[in-house]
Amino acid sequence: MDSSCARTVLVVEDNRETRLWICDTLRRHFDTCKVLAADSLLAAERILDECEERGLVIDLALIDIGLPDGNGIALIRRLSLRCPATLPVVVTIFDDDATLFDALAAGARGYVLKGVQSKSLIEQLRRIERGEPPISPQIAHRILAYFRSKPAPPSAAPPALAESEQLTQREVEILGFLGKGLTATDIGGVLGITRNTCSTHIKSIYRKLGISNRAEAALEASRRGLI
Amino acid sequence: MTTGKLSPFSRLALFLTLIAVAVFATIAVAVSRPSLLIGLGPQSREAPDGSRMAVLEGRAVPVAGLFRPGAGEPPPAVLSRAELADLARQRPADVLLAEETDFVEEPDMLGSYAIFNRFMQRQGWLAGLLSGEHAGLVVAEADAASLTTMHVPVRPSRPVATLPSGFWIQLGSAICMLAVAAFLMTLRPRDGPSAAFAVSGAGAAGAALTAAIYSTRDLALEPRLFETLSALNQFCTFLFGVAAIHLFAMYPVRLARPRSLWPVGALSLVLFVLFRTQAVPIEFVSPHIGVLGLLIGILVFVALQYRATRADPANRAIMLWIGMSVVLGAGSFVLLITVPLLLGQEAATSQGAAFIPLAAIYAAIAVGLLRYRLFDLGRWAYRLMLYTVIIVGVLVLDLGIALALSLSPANSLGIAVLAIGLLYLACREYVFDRLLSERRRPELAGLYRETVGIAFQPSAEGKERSWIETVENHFNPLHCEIDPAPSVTRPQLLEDGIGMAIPAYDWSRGLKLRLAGGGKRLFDMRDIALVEQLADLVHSAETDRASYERGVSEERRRIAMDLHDDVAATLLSGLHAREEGQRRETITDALADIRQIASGLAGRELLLSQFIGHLRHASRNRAELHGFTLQWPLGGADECDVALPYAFHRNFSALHREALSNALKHGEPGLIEIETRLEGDTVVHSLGNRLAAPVPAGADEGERGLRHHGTGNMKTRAARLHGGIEAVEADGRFTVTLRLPLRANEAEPADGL
Repeated sequence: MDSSCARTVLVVEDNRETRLWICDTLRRHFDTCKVLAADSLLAAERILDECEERGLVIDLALIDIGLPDGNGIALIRRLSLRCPATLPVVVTIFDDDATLFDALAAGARGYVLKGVQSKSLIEQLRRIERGEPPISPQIAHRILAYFRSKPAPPSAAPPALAESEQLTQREVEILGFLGKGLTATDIGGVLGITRNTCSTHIKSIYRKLGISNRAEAALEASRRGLI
Repeated sequence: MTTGKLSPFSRLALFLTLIAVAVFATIAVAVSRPSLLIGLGPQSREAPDGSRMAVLEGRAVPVAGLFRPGAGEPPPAVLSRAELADLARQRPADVLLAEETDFVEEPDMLGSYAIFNRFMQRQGWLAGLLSGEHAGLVVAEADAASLTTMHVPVRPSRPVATLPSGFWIQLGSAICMLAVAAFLMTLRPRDGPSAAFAVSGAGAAGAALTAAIYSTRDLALEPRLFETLSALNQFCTFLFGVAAIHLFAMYPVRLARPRSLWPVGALSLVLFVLFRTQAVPIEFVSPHIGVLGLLIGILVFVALQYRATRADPANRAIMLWIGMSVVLGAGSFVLLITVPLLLGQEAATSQGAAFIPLAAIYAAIAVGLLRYRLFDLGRWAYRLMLYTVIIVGVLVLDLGIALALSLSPANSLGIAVLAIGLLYLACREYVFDRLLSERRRPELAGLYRETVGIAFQPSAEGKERSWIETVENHFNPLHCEIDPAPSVTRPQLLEDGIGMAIPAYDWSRGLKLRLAGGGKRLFDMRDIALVEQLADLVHSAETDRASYERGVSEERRRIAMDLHDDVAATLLSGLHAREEGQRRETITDALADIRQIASGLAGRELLLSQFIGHLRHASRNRAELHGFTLQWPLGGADECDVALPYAFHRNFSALHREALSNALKHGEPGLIEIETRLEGDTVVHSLGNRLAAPVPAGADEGERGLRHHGTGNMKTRAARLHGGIEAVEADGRFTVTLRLPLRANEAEPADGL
């Protein structure tokens, strides 16, 4: 996130102090940043509706999952389906939260930890925007387990779809190292690739997780006769 | 031949063979006699003038007399009754005036020896008539004033199909009685009451078989055969009575020793011999006197049994059932046949029909086996008998249907076959399904659900209520009551299965159930086994639940201590921290603690490799935040998939964080090196960096290092994991090494913290 670039950021967080801290941090570090704050799912949806009506694009959405009137994952799903220009990011206390994986699978492009200092929060956001989303060891384990539990695509399936849904061997390797707590730099060293290449793989893993999850959700909806 | 040495199946086969022989012998004797087939015999209809009627060319005509064709001059074709009487008087060898006495069913019923002997003599004349090719009949015409003569051909034998219904009724009654007797002798060959009952059945059956032949005779039998059958009939009747008296003297309560009852048998034998030899006036030795006397004897013993069983409801029930069966069965026979004759009246019914109530005794015994376990025979005996009866019954029915079909007119055959296909076969299938199928075994999943449901009831009242509901669902007793002070420690049958006592268990007081299956059946050993099985399952579920609850309680206690000792202490440090950075640090630590405790509460399994990965990730973030660089290469622990107990990873994590905090706080900014490896089953974890300030002198090297860094409790934590910690300082570099055995902590999770 470039500090000189005008951006609109949505912050959805029910804890007042945390919300104010995030908003202040964003305003302090990004002069031209426009921050929209919501303390509930309903308030967030109203803001999104209004933005859609006025044609206003939200560049970044920082969303807490546990909201008093619902689950932030619904918001992430809405953004990933209807606002592809928005970068949905989860705000979480713990990076091994069970719901974090669900949020990432729903389309979140990364997560930031709440219990960090302001400069760390900004650093996390910058990395996400650069295409270096974090993956904690716990999330790496969950992603691996998720893809392992999925049956192999049928041979008759279109190759493009199969490829988009399945992890490559290299991605599996990288997830394995992430699960052991190694960073992209460490992994690059072990595998003999650059940190950027490693980050590209991580981004691809995120994308595949989102595609696979959305395809699965569509299939399930179709099964239930919802679509 | 001692049948007791044979196996039950051999005995049963032997008895069934004997029954078959007796039945076929009876039929063979009956069909071997020559016959006229004009319905003239004890079963023939009576004319208004008292004479018997023969069925000739479809007409019933009264028979006035009989004559031998070809013996001397034949009687005129038409004659008067007076002329017939004269002829009979003048030529007794050729002409016989028909008398009512010639057609009595039972000659024992005749009032004097003279009449009896005359009857036998006339039977001889009539049997002689049947030895020729034709028999001469003198029958009354419609005006009954004039008589006409006619010749009827004599058949050398009697076709089976012409045997009258009375024959078959008596034969069926005999088969029924013999079958029950055979079953009792098969199952309880050495048991006195069973033998007495079996002998009484054999006696009654013998009487029925012999009577079947002579009471349904076609005109007459040879006197020798007749007298033999009559004597056998009397003997068997007495045998029935004597055996029944013996039975009620012994069963259900032993009132007298069988040997002491010898006068009954002896007196009966004397009566029999005296009657048969005609040595004593008939008024004293008439068979009916003996029969009546034996019935009175039975009644006396039944009354004595009633008195003797007044304090014993189970035996009282047995006695009432079997006693009333015998008294009503034998009593109705006597009332219908014997008493009217003793009073000089005609029998109220035919002898054949009178055997039906007698046979009903034996049907009642079969029912008694089911309801009261007569003679201590279990349900299996009843079932065995039931199977045989059903199979024989179905075979007989099948044969009957086949016969009926063969005799049906062609146009109705199709309808009959259709009806049989639709109705009979379906009914037969239903009967087999219902009667021959086992009582349904309780479903295993259902048992599990019920017993676990009992064990997991939160309150004692709920457990007892669920237990009672389960028991009632399985046995459907008419009555179920709580027994606060049960005398049994294991389930027990009460009153021979009328009730069942269930002992007190940890989850319920004792119970007393009565009348299983809504009163339709008795409790049996299978019910006892089911209660024991249910109790075992509930007990196991209770034990498992208690063990689980102990584990959960222990885990909760541990987590509560973690929250109190670690999180509260950390937050307190944060509260009093003077520096903003330190405050943040302590609050972050408290959050990490909470996360780990929450993870422990969720019961998630954590492998050593995963744990090290998480620790590496968190430590790197933390070190980088403080301007340090972390070097923690992959090692053996990263490949180890041993599941860690909560206490182990919780303490390991706390030890590591403490060491890292010290390194961050007291170390020189730069590189922190961490290594985790496995030595056997011990995790060796070392963390080292350069010190920012020298350690004070005058202290032990290891102790000095630990104390200096404010981590005195690290040793305690390591000891709780059956491990150790050591600190080494050399050349300005400080290294802490943890040694934590995995196996010791797997086997015995560290308690407390």
